[in-house]
Amino acid sequence: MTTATESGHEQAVRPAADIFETPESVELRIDMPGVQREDLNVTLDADDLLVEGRIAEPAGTTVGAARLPRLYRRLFSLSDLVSREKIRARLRDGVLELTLPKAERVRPRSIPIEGDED
Amino acid sequence: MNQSWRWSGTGSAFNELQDALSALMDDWLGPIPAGEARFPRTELVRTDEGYELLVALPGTPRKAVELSVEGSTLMLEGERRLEPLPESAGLARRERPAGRFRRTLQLPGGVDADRISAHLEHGVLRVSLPLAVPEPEQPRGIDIEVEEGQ
Repeated sequence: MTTATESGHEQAVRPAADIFETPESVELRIDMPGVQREDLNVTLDADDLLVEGRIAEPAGTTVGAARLPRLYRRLFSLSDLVSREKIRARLRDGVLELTLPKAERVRPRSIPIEGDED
Repeated sequence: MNQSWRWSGTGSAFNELQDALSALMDDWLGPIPAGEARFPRTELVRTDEGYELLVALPGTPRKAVELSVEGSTLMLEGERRLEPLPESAGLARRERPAGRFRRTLQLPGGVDADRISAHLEHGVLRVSLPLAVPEPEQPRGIDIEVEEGQ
């Protein structure tokens, strides 16, 4: 997905992420260097968790081809095992940390079988 | 504008990418762009005062980065360590680059090496490379020798 701007070449970059699972939660660590809190959006729409971060254009003219991204965007699709209610987000030194608590699991239970004795 | 400045040096130790997808979560948008493999990403910007070098170092403390200048060579060295996982954790996917890095940059002409400064904030190192300010021309008196007599 590309968003046109005055500069005409703002391309969303998919940020690198680590995903791991603890007994209580699914944890995401997403690299978004340069993104500040006010330029970060984390939105949940049904199963879609969208993470977007914007970086201001540097004051000057880029020399050469190497550029830092101006826009990070990544979509994660959540399963039913993740609670939609208590997702926590922290942004620290250009790393977004998301904690997605697991939903209360339905514990296995035994079902009595009815029938005649004997 | 001089296009020939290039970072040189060792590449990154890219963490092994584990392809196993978490059972709890899937992820939709294709592979990481190739540029991500080059760690750390950099950008050189021409500013009013000179140049600014941007280096993307997410989650990297200031103490883990060393910057030095020798002659007209700027050297950046450091290490990005990822936080260890909790013991109970199962890893589903690891994409973030980490490890040691070392880069050198030939400073553009006119940069005042004594005034280079750097600042690490929001996971981006900004190295300011100001151009030397030319000494203002001082008016100076010129002695006029007059030959006395004749």
